[in-house]
Amino acid sequence: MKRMFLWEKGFIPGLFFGVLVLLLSLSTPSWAKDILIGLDGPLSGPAASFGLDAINAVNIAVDEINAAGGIKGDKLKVIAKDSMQDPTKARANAEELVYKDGVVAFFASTLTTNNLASLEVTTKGKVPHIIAGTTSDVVCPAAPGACNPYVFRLPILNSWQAEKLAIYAVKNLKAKRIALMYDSTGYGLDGKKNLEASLQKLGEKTAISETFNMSDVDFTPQLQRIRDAKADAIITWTLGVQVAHIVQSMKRLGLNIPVLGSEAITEAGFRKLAGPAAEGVYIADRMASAYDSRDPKVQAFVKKWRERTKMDEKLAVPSWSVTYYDAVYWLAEALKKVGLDREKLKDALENSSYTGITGIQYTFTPQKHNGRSGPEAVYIVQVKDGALVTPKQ
Amino acid sequence: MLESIFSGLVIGAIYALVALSFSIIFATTNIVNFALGEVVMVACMMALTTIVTMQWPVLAGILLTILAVLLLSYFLQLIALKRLQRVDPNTAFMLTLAAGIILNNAALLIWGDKPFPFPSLLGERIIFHIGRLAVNQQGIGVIVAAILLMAVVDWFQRKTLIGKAMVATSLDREAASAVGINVNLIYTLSFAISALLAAAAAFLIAPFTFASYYMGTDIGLKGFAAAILGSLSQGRGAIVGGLLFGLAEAILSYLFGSNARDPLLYLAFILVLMVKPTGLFGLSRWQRLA
Repeated sequence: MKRMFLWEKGFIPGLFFGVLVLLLSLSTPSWAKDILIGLDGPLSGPAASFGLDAINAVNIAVDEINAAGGIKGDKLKVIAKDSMQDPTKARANAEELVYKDGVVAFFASTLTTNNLASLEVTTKGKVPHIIAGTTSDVVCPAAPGACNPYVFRLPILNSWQAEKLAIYAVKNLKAKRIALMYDSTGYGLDGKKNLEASLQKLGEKTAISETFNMSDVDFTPQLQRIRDAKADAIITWTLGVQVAHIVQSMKRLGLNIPVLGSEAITEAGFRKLAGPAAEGVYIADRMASAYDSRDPKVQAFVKKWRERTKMDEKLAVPSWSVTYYDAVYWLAEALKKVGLDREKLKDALENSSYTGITGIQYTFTPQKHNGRSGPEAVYIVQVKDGALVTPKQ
Repeated sequence: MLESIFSGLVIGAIYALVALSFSIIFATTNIVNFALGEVVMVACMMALTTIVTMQWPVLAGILLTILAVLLLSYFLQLIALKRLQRVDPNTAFMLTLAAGIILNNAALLIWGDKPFPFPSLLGERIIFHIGRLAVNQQGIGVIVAAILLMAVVDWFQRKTLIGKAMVATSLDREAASAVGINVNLIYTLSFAISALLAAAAAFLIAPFTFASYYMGTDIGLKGFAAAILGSLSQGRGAIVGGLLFGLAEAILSYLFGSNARDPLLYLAFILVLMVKPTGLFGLSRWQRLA
């Protein structure tokens, strides 16, 4: 009687518990699990737009892959972390993603210093460290075998951009006296070094080199010196706000020579700020203008991008977002082939070849961890009616 | 060289406006209003929101902007002065500085961290050339507008009764009060005139700098330095200080490059103040009374 009573008392909660366990095990069957991908980026603060672009692009690809059956039935899932502009935070995020969440691959921050900070963690944890944003040479140098074995980069390099810009100015624009304008940050100084080396390779000398501080708004003195030096083209190496100031100062001065710039100014902010003064500016880009592409695959991506970001029609999809999109598909292909084993995944990635939606070829070998190959891989786009198009020349 | 001198004069005219608005408040109240740069910024962002974003008619946008900065200056004045009349000016400095930081961060929250293009209300066309110097509407417009505004303020201070009352208050607060001048009204008025000049500076400089939450810091600092260089207590001195500062900036970066500009500029600045601590055109208290 007494035993019966005890049994009865535990019966109802016990039943609940049993049903709960049963339900839980049914809802997530053990044969289908999430494959976790880590992403670190500036999601807030002054550089937030880069990180948000990355997340949006990655999520578009992940949703498509999952809708099409995932990786052999397993779904991809992105865990995004915000490291703002703080390298210490980037390192901590990488540690959490690699050791706590156990991600199979890590998309590094678009900011070089944050990228480098997380790189130490991911490569020690032997997690593929995928770079889809950063173009700075140092995170994965181009020389054969010079890149860390766990680091893979899909975009073009700064040194390649510099070389392509120099070639374009000399060969296509027939410039004889090229002026350089670069900011006084690490980015600008690095660009100056690369541009000077590239011009030298072509047997050309720089007509004049002008630098400026990031807070400068009036570029008349520098432009006047450039005019005094009788320059016939200006290659800039700085960010969008500064190039916007430069082209506006040129307009006020009535200085009418071609302006070229690095990939950083493909961002929409440059064209928005500079307005009509941006017209005609040549920009090094990692792919042919996705903006005037008639390819249905590209257009489908652009449409999804616009829906997700509510972006202005004219301002076009930033090309780095296409790289993030391509990178997820490239990774998914390797995952389908070899599964989750980190070592095997790394081997698969470094023996892979993938064609992105805009037709770009990414090829990796154990000696070559940069997917693109040399300055020939760099495209030139031009601002026309506020959009980026393939130039006529 | 000519182009640099012209662009230096354009930017210098705007510095002069800001320097004058620093000096107007300092002359009457002995307070440096460190929130002034942020007042310029707020005026600019208000104009941006009304004229560009909401597509209001330009005049309506300008009127609302003026109203907003007048209100703002009234509150600043309440903070810095009314409640603290017996507190020393150093505390008031800190209070204006704090108000400036609050305004700066509030603007960051409201308008975000990206700069916005700001239309030139004066036109962008190149009117004529002097040699290779292209003189454009914006540049000439800025110089003319700034000089006109400063002339009006100067006339107001020297020739009108209220203006004379302001000068009297600046020379001796107690004596002015004793002869029946409403000192508090004079304070309010000087904050208001200063804010109007700041708003004008905002309209003139924004097409060059773009409109952003951080634009006020730089213009505030340079306007203040220009005022010190000329004279913080003499309006005319502050104006000349502003023009000199703009010119020196442009000429130094033309001659020596932009990296050498700031060290040289501030070195000259220190030298001037070592020789003449009241600024190039500053008068000592006794000279002012005489």
